[in-house]
Amino acid sequence: MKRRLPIGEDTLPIAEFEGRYITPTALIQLKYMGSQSISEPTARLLIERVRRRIEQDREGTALSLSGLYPELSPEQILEHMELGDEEGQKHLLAERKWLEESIKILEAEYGSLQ
Amino acid sequence: MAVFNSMLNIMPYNCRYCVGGYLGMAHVSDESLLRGVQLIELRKEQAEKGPVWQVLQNQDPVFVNGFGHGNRGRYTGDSETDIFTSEDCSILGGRVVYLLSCLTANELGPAAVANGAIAYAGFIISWTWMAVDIYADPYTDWYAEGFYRASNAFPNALLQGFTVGQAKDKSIEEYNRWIGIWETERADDKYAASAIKYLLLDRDGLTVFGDTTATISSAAGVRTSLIVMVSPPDKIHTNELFTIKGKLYEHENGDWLADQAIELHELSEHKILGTAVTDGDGEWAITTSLTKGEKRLYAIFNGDNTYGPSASQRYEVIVGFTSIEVITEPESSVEVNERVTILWRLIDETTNVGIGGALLKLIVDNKLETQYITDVNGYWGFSISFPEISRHTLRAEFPGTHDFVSSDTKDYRISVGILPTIGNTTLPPPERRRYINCQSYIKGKRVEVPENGLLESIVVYGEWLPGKVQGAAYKWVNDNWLELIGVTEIQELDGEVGWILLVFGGKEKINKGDTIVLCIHSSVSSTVLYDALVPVGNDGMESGQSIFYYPQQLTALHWQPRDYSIYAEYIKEEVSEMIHKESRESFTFRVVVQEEEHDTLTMVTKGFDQAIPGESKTIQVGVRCAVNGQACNLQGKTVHVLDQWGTIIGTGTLGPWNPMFSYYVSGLITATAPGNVGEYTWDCVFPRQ
Repeated sequence: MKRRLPIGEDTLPIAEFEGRYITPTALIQLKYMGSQSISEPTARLLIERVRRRIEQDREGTALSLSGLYPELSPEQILEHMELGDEEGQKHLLAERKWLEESIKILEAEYGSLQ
Repeated sequence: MAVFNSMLNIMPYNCRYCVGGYLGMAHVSDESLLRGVQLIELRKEQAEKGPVWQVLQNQDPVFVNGFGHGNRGRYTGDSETDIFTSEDCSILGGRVVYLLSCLTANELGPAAVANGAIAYAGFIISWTWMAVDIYADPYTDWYAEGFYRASNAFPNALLQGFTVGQAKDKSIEEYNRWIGIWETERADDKYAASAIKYLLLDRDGLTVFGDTTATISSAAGVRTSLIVMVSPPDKIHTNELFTIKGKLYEHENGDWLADQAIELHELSEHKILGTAVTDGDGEWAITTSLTKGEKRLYAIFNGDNTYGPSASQRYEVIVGFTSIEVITEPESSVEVNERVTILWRLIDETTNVGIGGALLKLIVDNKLETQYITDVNGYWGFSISFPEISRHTLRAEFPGTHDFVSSDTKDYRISVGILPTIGNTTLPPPERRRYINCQSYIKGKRVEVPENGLLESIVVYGEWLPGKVQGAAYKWVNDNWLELIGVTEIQELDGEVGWILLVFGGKEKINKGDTIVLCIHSSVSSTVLYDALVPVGNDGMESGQSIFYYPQQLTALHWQPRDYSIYAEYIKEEVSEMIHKESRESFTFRVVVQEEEHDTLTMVTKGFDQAIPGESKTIQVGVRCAVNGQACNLQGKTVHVLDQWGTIIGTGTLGPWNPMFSYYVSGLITATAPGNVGEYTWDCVFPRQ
């Protein structure tokens, strides 16, 4: 079974191009057109992805064995990400890992997108 | 040197986030028995520093496997007080450690290895997971299963004889397997992306220090298997004798092993209950009895220089069991602030006598509400009320004592202030209803019922509006409840009877078969409490005619202080007027001062007006120079399609001049429709270039 982006993920921004967010489809099209200027994911982009996922009711509640924040709702996750505290950094890291994984899924089908 | 083929499981339970870990670790215990590894479990209140250090000092297991809350330099137990800290972890010297806890690999892990631990595995991040039911066995939970299976893969691999380094690889393999599951067969789950990102976070956060070639097994001899042919009973009375029987054989060739010692272990009290020696057919039998409590038994062959160890599966036996008898069951539906009274009795099932002086816990919505002591005969009663409209679950728990096994009741569900909805449930839903010549339905006057539940008579009045259904209703109270108990004349508002009058106005006739719906709406709960068809005469109804409606079902409803409104709807499924939907097309323009910058015109030469959620669609865009038209060659220039947020969702290149459109037209640009139903506006943009 071929790996694919989960439902709804293709509507989220995956990179930035000339100051605008771009979706996976646009990223692939730009790559085929020869554009090179895909930048590293910023915190702004990662936060925007989570914000839109929440709008689509697709962000889950996070449980952890942390003494400080054992349970965070999607909205609380977003608050910490925007705040940039240690908990927020964890969620930024998780979102960054998933973004990189998403690009790998696309590259498996469309070739290098970097 | 620590004892090989031996492990300690530290299993806190008190905190709600530890319940999943507690139930998940039971699967590691099962694996240890399967592999013949001596298992020591410290559960619940035993999962504290005192018992843990005592076991490590006295029984000296080589493998320490724990979960629970943690921080950079701390690992805590059932009461969330420290078991190991980076300053106080010398007890871990000579052992292999795996802690499913948050952040401990930052300081505690390196400190443990510096204090002589053979190897340490833990996490540099807060181990994060998801669950549908935080109290369920994670192996049965849709979201939690992958997280716990991946974590358990580490200790299970050690139990299977793999090295620490290989155990890490096995765990990462299992994380990857579950990431793959969410990216394939579960990719349509709406929380798939969240599940994947936390699996990635946990996978990459697993960190190992120390000797990665270490194992927890001594050199293995000939592999053996221990089977049980006569199992212990599930429940048994205190001190009642029972016998467990089984056989021991060489795993590969099935030869029975004679003259080998078998031990029967009890995990809760770390006792050896009995021993036996296998006969010529490899058979063994141990007869014993148990004291009160929940016991976990397994038989083990410890092995020797020739044969490797093996153990039976684990058996759970309840001894001296109890039950909670419900004398008075709680009401399933009560009013706000009405007291719910329950009477329970705790019974020793061995003697059928009530257990006095026992602590019983009242659990409301899975949280401890209060606790009481039973009287001398085991009875325990209480009452509770709820101040708001709500739903609750309620149960009693007896946590057990040294002499008696724990027990609990089922969950009782209680609705507070929520009226049963009655009426015709086959009506079309509101979004499918159409109102002829109406912008909306007629709303009745809002009525406030006072706190004491008494209501003076008049409730709703109608308003004559041409072309609309007019509703008028009266209802009043009887005793403390607002009830409709009968029907009389219009003029009689004496608090004894009730009816609803509907007067039909407007130019249109209400035809036979048309539908009038009477609704009673609660503004407190925002729900329609009553929703029923009003019968229309066989000849239909003319404007100005009226009908009395006697909603007999209303007499079954109990009313309480809140706001109500009553309204009638005239439903006609077919829409008589043609409605044209809003349409729009966006374009982009630029105001320039430099003469060499020309305005451009953008045209959507191929769009679409409908899509299903997530559908892949194609768009074609045309652009021309507003000053020179075809003379300005735009072929090869870029155009974008932007979604409702302004994100670029598709990009294309303009082709040659298209004489049909008189524009330079792009190729087909693919973009994906939003996942949610709704009306959206996208823009086609020719960026400045």
